[in-house]
Amino acid sequence: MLRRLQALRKDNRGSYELLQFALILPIFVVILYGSFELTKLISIRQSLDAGTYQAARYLSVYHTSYAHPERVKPRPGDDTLRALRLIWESLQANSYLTGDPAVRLSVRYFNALGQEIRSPADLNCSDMESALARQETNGLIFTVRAELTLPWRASVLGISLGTVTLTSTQTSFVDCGPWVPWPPPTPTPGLEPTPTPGTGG
Amino acid sequence: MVKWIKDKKGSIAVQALLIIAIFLLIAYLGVEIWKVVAIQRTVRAATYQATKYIALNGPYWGLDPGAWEQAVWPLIANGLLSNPFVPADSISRGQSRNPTITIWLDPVCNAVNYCERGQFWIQVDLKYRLWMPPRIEDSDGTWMQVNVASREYGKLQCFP
Repeated sequence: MLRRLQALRKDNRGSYELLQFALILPIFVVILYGSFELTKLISIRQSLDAGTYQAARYLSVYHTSYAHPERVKPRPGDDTLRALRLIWESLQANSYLTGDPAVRLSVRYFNALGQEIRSPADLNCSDMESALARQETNGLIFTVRAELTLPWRASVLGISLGTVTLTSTQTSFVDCGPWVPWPPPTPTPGLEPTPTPGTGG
Repeated sequence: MVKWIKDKKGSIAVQALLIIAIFLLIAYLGVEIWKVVAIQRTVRAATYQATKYIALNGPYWGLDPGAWEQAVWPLIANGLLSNPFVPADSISRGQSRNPTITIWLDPVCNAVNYCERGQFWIQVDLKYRLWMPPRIEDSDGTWMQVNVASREYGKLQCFP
């Protein structure tokens, strides 16, 4: 038994490969764990991008002018709340974030010059011509910037990389469409039934 | 010489160094390709937004591609800057204009027939600088200029 152990100790076969393996293994493990963390961050960033795109699209299409004054009474801030909700729902659909109440999300709006504005949806389409006439400041263009601070610290193999804040930005414009102001309501069908072919006498 | 060739001491370290160098080079190039692809996607998205903007509002500024170019500049510039890989100082409206915006409008289009002949396209060309690692005989790397371009076709919206 002792002889066998001594022989094993003296046997140098495979030592190069073992050393090489020992050198490469730690690098490989760090890359592997790092890629897990990176995948998680990329996935969350994609959800944030999707939500911000949806919010920008919502604010582009469904703005104050589209709210029919006789049917809907828009309140200030309604649109931005809905935009925020769209981003939030997109984030909640991501399995890495589902049900985590500690996620911090902030949304800010900017005009074409990069100045912060209250809400891009406040533009009334009846003022569109004057907004378009100002080419340099371009009253229709807006940017939505969403900032998400993750509730945990990014880490690789237990080494903390600090708090991560992801930012997503989407630029769009208020789409007043060719029908400014609001088009007339679609006529509702009358009480008389529509004649169906083949049933007439 | 023969003795030196046969000497295997330190060969593992040399082998590991070579592999790590090649691996780092591949990783760097992978990241750079990813960045260019991300920028290409952003340029395409910005061009699409600009095309939509002109299709809807173009006739307000007259049938003048020069005025349209001025109107879509903030939309394209802000759209490009939403990508963190696009350096803020690379977007310039001055002498060395970047990106360049080219707008073509059907030459027969006029105020009467723009509903039928209002075809146009917008092309955005963004110059992006890419650092290439040094070759064996060089001491520094070189900067390579990449032109990221996107073209979108559109038609002017006909107003009722």
